Amino acid sequence: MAAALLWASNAAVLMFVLLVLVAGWCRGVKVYETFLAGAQEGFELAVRLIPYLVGMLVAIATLRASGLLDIALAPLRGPLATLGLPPELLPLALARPLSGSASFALMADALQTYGPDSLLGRMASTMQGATDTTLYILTVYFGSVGVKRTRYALPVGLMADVAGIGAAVFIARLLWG
Amino acid sequence: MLDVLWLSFLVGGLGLALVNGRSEAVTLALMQASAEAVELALGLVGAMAFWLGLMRIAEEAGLVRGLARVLAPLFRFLFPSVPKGDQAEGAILMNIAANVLGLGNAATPLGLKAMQRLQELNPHPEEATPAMCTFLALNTCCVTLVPTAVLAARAAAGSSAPAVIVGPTFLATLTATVVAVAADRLFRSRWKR
Repeated sequence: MAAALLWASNAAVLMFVLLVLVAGWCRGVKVYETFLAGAQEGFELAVRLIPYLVGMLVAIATLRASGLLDIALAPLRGPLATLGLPPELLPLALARPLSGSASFALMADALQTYGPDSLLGRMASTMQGATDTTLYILTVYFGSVGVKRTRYALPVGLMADVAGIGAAVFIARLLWG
Repeated sequence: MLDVLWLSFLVGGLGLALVNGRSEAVTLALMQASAEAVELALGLVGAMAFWLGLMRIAEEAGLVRGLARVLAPLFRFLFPSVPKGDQAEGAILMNIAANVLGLGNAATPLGLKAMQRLQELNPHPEEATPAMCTFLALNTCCVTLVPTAVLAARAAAGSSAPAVIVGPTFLATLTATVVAVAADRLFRSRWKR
């Protein structure tokens, strides 16, 4: 089961790339030109991330190097460990619903610190992919049309976040724990 | 919100470092982290450019449209209040399809367009309709087939197998989506004006 999932993960990406290229060619898309136009956007996106990354990585580095992170997470260590969530990834889990760029920076930091192929690195990647930025989406989408009373949208979004992060932890443990 | 969080991280860390004698280590960490951030972003450029280039082809080849058509039957179940063939239907389906393919940037304008149309159908413009809540729920947890940025970051960090997380991410987002739809249904039936 686990081996099949890992194989499918790798194969899915290649098959997806192949499918896109073949479909584009069959539909008469100018594939190379179109690719370049999209790639240009990728460059801009990565560069636009720099200030967010600097802001977050500096804050996290300060937290870690000063020892404050250890102090703050100490009381949570036990209960979280029983649930399978490593305390190192708690900041990521907490930031995920608040900000996409902040949680992205936290995930990138986990990849650097623990290695992308470690359990923590893989779990962090899955957590980052598992949910979207609930508060940002809520603010932007409802804000754009002037809805002020958002009913039950926030609790539903947050429940989905908890479920997504929980599932990410569980699956990562199952596969790589 | 994030403002307070960021400030307390920095002020707390710097304050503690001054009293527990770790100022040197923290100074070093500050410098290293800011340099690391730029390195990281530049390391992302290649992979992000590749994926977004590929996604542009997918869009122009009509794959987003095709996926939207596949998802159409599900739409009736999720949004019973949206009239059949309404322009909100197209925008919502395209937004979800873009999300599934990890096209965050392309998804947002489509989502805002869908929101506008849903607002025109809204009898109480200050309050969200059930359809809006369902749409938001789907957006905050959408099933993801290609987590573009995560793949790019893993490759940039030197992973020997960046794609191993694709299957797990799909399953985790599927779980989140099922929970979101169930919670949305539950809240909707219990909600009193």
